[in-house]
Amino acid sequence: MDFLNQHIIPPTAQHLALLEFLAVVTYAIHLPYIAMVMGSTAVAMWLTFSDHEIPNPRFARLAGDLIDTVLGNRYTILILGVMPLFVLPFIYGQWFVGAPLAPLKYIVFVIPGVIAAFVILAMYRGSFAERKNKFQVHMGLGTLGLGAMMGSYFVLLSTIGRLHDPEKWFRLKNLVVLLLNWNVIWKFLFFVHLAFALTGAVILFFLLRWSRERSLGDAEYTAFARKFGAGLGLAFCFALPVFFLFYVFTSPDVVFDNTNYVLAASVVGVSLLIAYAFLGALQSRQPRFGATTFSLFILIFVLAGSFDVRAMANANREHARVIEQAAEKEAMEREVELETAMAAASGKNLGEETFNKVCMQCHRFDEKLVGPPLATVLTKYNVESLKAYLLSPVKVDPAYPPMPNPGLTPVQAAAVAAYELQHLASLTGGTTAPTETQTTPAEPAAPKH
Amino acid sequence: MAKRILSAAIFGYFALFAVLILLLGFRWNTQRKAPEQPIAFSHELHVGKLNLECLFCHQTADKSMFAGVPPVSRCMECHVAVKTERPEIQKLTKYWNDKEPIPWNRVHRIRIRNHVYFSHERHVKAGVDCAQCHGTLAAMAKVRQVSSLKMGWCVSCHEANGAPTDCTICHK
Repeated sequence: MDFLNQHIIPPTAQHLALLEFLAVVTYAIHLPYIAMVMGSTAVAMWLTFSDHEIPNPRFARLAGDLIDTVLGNRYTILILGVMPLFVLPFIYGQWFVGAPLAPLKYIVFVIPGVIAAFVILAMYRGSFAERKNKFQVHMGLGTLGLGAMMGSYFVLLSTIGRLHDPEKWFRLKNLVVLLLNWNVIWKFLFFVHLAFALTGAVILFFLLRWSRERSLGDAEYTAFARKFGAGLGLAFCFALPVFFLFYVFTSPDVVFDNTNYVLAASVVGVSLLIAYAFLGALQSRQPRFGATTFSLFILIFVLAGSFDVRAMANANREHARVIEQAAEKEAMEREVELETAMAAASGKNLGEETFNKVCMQCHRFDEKLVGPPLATVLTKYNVESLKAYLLSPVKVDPAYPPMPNPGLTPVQAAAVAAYELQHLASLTGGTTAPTETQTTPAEPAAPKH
Repeated sequence: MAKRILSAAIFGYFALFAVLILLLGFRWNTQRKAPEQPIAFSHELHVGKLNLECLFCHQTADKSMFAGVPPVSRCMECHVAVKTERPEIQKLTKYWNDKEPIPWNRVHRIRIRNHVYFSHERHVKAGVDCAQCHGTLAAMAKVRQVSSLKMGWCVSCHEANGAPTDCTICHK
């Protein structure tokens, strides 16, 4: 990743917040689509299988409708299914710039798996018409596509989940250890159950409302699809809070703050609303609550995505602070450059200004404050060696606390060194005034103890 | 009537989980959150910006079991003169003038002890970086416990670095 790192400017705090927002948006767009594809493929396979065992035209029709509707055309697959995956490495690559062993590369490994899964699922959709003659080919394609999809998303969720636990990064040498842990298993089970519940909402929304003409005039089929969708959704809704609670419970302590607990509780709250909407759809005589359940599911993805991204940010907040500091340092250096230019233009002495602002906190020329009186220690230095000392101070006299790094830029340090030596010379009569031209390179750059 | 009972049952089921999550949050807030300190001392400033050594303040980390909280006199070596106008430093000066220790709140704690013996001295002398367990202090304005301090965490580091893993190494 070093090659990439060189092309990334140090992100500021706002930049990191923007990346977090972008991650939540990506999840809110991408994951519902994937969940829809996974859930409806699994449900359609079960319906097809049941129809194959005991012929049932309503099952076959619902399976066909689901397969037709959900995957969408090639642009839908590209925009909702594949492109967001390319955004993720950029988001996390910038967020974790310079982090030791952030398990990021596995995000990239997921992309070919997902593309393969989409290709196989498109073939599965194509083979639906011939399911009677080539039943095993049809079901085989479905199983393969679904398996590739679930495998890829287990790896993706697992990789992103590992970012929540930096304490364990140092022992992630084994891929199995990296991917398998209870936290990820609970999260994946939550995702799978969410996918099935969402499929219920897909039947109510896309099949019975969006493309209403498809089922219009067939009251019996409409009633069947409504009951099937609402029942499926309601049943899987009950699993959601269980798995989410286990997921929260097995998350490491470092991911939490108060907001995250509120987010987690609101995931449960929204699943309650969804359960009520499914119940309403089950009990009413008309196909209703399709749009309500579907938009509430999108809200769950936004909330759960925010929980995850915030967990990642909380667990790595010191890392974030370190890269923010790099950005702040760059900004400060630009400011000092400007100040230097302004001081030169207005005829002020940069060395004197900096000395008064920074060094005077601990040093005087003639008295002991925190550090030693400068008149007694400066005699050892010339401009070059003093500048070197100011840029990286070391402890010289055990009677005093160590001098902290004053954080000067090389320009400031040179100006301060020149000012201090000139001022000392003017105090002692100016006879031995060392000037900037009077450098003695024979002396070591940093003074010895 | 049956409808109402069903609605209430569903509500109760989901509310149970929401309450459990909020209880977890309450427990975290009282036990695991980075504690408030009597003085807003910033490691980010002293370690990150000023590059002070850990051992300059935590003097006994390489000499005893405990890293030790620095005495107020260590603070006053500099703050007798540095930034005395700031309210947090004035709080410090008050403790110094009253000859009272600062009542810092403990951040790191092994929660289930089972006679665990841990010595800072051994780990510092073996060359373990402070940040390995305590996190990047140079970026912490307020100190929090970064590592879980659970047994699995101890053992995996011992294994990774070839340190002994006999029970009696830690459990005395």
